[in-house]
Amino acid sequence: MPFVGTVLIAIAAGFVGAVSGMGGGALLIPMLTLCGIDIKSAIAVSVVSSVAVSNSAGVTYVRGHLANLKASAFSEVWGVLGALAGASLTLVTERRWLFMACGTLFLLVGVGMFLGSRRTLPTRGWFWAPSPRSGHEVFASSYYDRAENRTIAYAGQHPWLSALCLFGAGVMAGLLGMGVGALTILVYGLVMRFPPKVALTTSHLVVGVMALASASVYLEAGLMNLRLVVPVVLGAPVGAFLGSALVVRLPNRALLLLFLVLIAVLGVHLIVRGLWWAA
Amino acid sequence: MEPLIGAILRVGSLAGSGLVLAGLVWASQTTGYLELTDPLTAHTVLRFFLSGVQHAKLPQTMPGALVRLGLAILLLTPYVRVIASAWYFQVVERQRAYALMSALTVLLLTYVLAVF
Repeated sequence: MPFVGTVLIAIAAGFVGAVSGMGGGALLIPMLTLCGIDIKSAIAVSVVSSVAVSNSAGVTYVRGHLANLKASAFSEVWGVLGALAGASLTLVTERRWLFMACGTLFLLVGVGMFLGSRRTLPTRGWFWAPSPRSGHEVFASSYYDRAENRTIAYAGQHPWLSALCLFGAGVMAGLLGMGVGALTILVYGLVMRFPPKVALTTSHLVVGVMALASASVYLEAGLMNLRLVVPVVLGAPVGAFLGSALVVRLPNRALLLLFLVLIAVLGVHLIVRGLWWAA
Repeated sequence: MEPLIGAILRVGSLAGSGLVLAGLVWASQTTGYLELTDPLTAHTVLRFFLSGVQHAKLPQTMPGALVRLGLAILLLTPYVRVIASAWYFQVVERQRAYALMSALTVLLLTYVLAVF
């Protein structure tokens, strides 16, 4: 692949990754495989892209008090534990069915979220309203939403259920090599009941750590193609910077709609990969 | 805490990309075209970083060394961020539960980066 073309793809992937919260692989892997790159090499490069996007986008999200650092600290433990467990299971697991199951899960959850959001009356501008306060909230914080021009206070719920789900997300990430960003956002949004913008930005920090945990595996396997990694490292942070600047200005509803579109695309991609998996 | 974490992410991102770009430009000056053919293999991320340091000792391998160091800094930035989080939670905010969580993450990542 030509160097400049790869840089442009990486910029686009970084932009989409920053806006969707799914790291660098959501767009990068399909585009690289369409250009004839081996899927394993594409996944290896996407790991590096995920870290680059996490670093670059994280600058904006952390300094804007959008990402919840306490929730991130809580999540990273479970995510990394899950990723290690998933990587250990790789050799003994039929991944074809896992791809299809994960893709089906994404589609079902995406459809459910879309249908549920249409019935939910938005309160305080959120696309779906948080569940009533139970007195067991954690990670309480607030952020100033530029799109809505006001400060939004929030708190997380069901921390231990979230921990279990994040462990599962880590296992899936370790097994499949992709999808951790989408799974993390789902956990933050549906289980922990964070606002969409907080779910997206906090997932970036967790994705970066979990991608790092995968990097050694791909380095040792010799799957890090320098001709792909270098342009991706140069392009992805630029795209992520631009995307993060857009996120802080978009309303939660727009971000959620974008996430639903991308999760549907990712779900279809995973199902197709499972169907065409070569044993 | 946000300014500290934001600064770590910014420095890591800029330094990593900057070194990779510098190595690429140096390689193009030497070979005349944008092409790097060094094999990119290592047993772990930390050994990958050390290999970059070793390659930097010789002028002829400096372009590859800069690229390796840049990539290693990029990959290690989240690791440094988690270490800083653990320190800040423990020393500044005195929130031991979060400090313990971050410290555990550091231990797990250290195992992955150095041994796995």
